[in-house]
Amino acid sequence: MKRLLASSPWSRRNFLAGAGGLGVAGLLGAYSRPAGAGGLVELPFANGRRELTSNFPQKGALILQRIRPPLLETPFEVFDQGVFTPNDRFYVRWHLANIPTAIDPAQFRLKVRGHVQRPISLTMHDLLHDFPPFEIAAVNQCSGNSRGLFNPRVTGGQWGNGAMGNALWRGVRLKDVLDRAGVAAGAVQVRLKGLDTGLVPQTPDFMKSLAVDHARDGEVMIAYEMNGRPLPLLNGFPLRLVVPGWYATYWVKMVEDIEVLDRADENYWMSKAYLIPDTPGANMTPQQKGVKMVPINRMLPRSFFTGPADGAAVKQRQTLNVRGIAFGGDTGVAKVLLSLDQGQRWQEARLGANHGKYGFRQWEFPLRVPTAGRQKLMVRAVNTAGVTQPDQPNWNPGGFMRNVIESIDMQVS
Amino acid sequence: MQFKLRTSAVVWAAPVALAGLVLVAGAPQLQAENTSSSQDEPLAPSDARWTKVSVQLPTSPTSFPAGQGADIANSQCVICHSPDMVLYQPARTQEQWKETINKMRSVYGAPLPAEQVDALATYLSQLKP
Repeated sequence: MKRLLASSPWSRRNFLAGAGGLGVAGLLGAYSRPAGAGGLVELPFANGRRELTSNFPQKGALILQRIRPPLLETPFEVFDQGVFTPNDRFYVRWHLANIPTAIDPAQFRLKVRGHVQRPISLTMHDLLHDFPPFEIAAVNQCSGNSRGLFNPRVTGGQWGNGAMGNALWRGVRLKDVLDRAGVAAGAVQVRLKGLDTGLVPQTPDFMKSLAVDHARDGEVMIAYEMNGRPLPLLNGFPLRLVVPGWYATYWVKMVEDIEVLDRADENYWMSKAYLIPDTPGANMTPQQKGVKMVPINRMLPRSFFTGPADGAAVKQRQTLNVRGIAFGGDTGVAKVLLSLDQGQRWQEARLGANHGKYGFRQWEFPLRVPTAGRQKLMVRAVNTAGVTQPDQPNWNPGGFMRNVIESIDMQVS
Repeated sequence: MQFKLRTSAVVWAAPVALAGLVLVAGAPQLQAENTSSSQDEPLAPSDARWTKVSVQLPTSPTSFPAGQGADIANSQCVICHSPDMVLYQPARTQEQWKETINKMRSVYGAPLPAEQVDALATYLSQLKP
């Protein structure tokens, strides 16, 4: 809590100054902010008050969405502090409550079995020494990030925008591990399972599958390090799958079992859960019936303001460092654009260092603050495939893949 | 079976008093515990950061708000998850909660008896967000 407020431009003092200039809670936009001395955060939707918690092991202050199994959201000001999200502030999302709390890497084994030439069982030593290390910067974003902002509301984790993070992942390519076992002819999918299980025997194990060609694309990897450190247990220690450009549901934590299938995976988590409408932007109306549903897959571009704070009071004729982060989804960021006139004209922001096409990209825009009054700023990213963010929010029953243009309000005096 | 599940609920409920008291017995970068034993493959010195990790997760200090049906929620829903996320859901009708409860029963194997579904759905639909 102390750390959270100390170094952040969203510090309580600045927030209070901003709120004082505004005085209207209704103007608050889609950004979390400290809500008071009690360690509360007010997410910008009905019933959005949450506790900040530092009660989870290896974790700093995070927004408490659910204690068990843990759902912990990254407070948005963390994204203003650097392009990589620190491990102890990285969001957490588990489906099943029976999570091992003691893991001994010396006894841990990663198994590869199923439709392979020779089933194998790898030790951590094998993974650390017998395979070429592979590194990639990539955004891990929950399929339901920002679900709390859906209108009409849908059930599920009521996240603000902080169910995402960017890390430098280091480990081994899934391709190299699969090649060690030898994928047999006729293989269709590769299914991954972690150590977590349900508390009731009937609860289906959490398993996710990728097409064989995707699993062997040389980018999908098994990470043993995150930002230069072993992963926090709640982010998947000792190993987690990294699927660059794809939603985090595929990034199986504590992955210990790799099964090569000679058929499409019919398990619950692939065939019934995490389905999206097979439409552009996963968009449909609540009334629409008979829409074809498919497993969620590639991410869409997004961009966010990290400063100034939404609702900030600013002085006229000063130059303001408007800044934020963006990512391209399943490819790099080409441009980040800002608008001061409700999206009629767009100006290009300056992009920060490029750490690879799947990571966050910082952006900044020195803004000569215009006329007094309420000023709305909008931001949109365009990715290198030419895909941009929509100006209307999408809707689907799962609350997945929100990527509408973001905006903040400033009060200029 | 029923007995075993109730036992597990008690096990989860019991450490409530410890909520907030989280022990990080071994942050991986801090612990220098020797993990090798006869049946383990020893990790090389450069692998020292991948030592045994042992943590304790907080238990839920909250229970469902009082009301008719709260006893069902407090004995059934909390077997698999804490109440907080339920309380954070948008307002829903009794019919919508019935759908969710039946999904918990049919998909996740919640041991909630069929005759309690209506009462639980009524309770949940009357919660004030």
